[in-house]
Amino acid sequence: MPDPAKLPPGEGALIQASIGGDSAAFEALVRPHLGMLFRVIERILGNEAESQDALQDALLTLHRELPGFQGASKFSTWAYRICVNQALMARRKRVRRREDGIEDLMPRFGDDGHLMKQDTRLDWSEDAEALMKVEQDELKARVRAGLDRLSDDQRAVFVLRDLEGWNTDEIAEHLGITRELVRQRVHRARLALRALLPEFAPRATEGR
Amino acid sequence: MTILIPSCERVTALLTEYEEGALGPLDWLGVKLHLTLCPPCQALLRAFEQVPILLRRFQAPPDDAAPPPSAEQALGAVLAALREGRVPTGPQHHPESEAWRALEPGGDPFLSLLLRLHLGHCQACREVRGEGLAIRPGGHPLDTLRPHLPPESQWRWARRGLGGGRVAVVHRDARTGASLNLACLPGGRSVPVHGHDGLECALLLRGSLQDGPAHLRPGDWMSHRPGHQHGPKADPGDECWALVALERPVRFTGWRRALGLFTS
Repeated sequence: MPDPAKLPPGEGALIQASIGGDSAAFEALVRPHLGMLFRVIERILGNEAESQDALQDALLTLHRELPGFQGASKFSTWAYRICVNQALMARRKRVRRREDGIEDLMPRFGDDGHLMKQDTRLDWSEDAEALMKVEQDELKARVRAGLDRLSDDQRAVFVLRDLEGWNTDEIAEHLGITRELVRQRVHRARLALRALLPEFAPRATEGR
Repeated sequence: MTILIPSCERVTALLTEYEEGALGPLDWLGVKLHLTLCPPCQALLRAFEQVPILLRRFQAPPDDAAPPPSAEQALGAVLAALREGRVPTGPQHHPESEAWRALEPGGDPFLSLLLRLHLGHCQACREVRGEGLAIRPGGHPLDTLRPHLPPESQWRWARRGLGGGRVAVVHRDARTGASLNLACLPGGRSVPVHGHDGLECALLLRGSLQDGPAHLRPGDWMSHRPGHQHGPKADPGDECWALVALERPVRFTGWRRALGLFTS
């Protein structure tokens, strides 16, 4: 049972009422975090219908597991972890996309091992406001298309590492893979996404 | 570039490790020197740093953004299920109320053994159900179980394709096809994803594991309805031991299905 002293005012009462079968209390507990919970699932799965199913399963599990919530972390953090687990489980169950389709986005090198000229034009501004120069809708479509070209394994690692801010050790432990494999997958995903978003690079750079 | 400084190709391959501080001193120095001399690779490193920042900023909705309709529909379905009592069972910590019927005369002997083991671990259930039938844990799970199982010479262990784990069919009811199985999973390993054509009830005897989003410890009861698919994962460290009662054989997905693992 959660320790009421560790919970924000009102949250402990909502948890207790939810455990007792009060569905309105459960709604009040979950609704403030609903968008955040859906977003992390959708980032990992990349499919709205699958994400809806996974969120539904996650919310049911969350309700069932409430008696085991100790209050050691924030409720939202605990719920977030449950949703990540559910998304990863849904990813394991489906017919997986094992091969990425990003070979054309990888950097090209000359015989001497130097970056070829076509890549030298990509100089990323340190000013993130360059983002605003690109039409938001076009950019959204391009990012979604880029993420869709990653394999399922690459996508999960990239989302957890670069979008959700997990560290390499956490991801390796959570997915049961080596740290080297985590870095390899995130590396390839970064290279691909960088090549898909050249408009972020307003300044041309001379080749060598 | 001199021969001592790595090429762009080599540096590009090492950028994620460089950015994470995971390179050894020689590689780190080589990348560092290369970056001071090579504007294209400097740009590449900046891109690595900027991509996640930009994507996070771009993908984050406003703080007051309403949840998308899909999320609302998921919550609506869950609230309806809760109001109507249609909450599916799954990994849990205590046996469902109907499971306790197995302790009555003529009850399922496999479930009865699981319940008695749960009673041995769970003071809360002992206070309700009494001490009489409880099997108290002691030492290794095998020491606790041996007096209640057929001789070990009759157990049939399987290891192939089980993700590093092993499973023994310790008893099978030839008439119904139901079986009692002892499972051992090394720390940090996962059972391959599999489904069930019948009810699965299990009791965790040692170690801890994640089954879907549920985290389970010794004495915890797990129950899965037919059709459920899962792939429990042991926590790093100690081995996990569980006693598993299956109404029907397990059904693995993918290539493991062809091998008929743990299914007959």
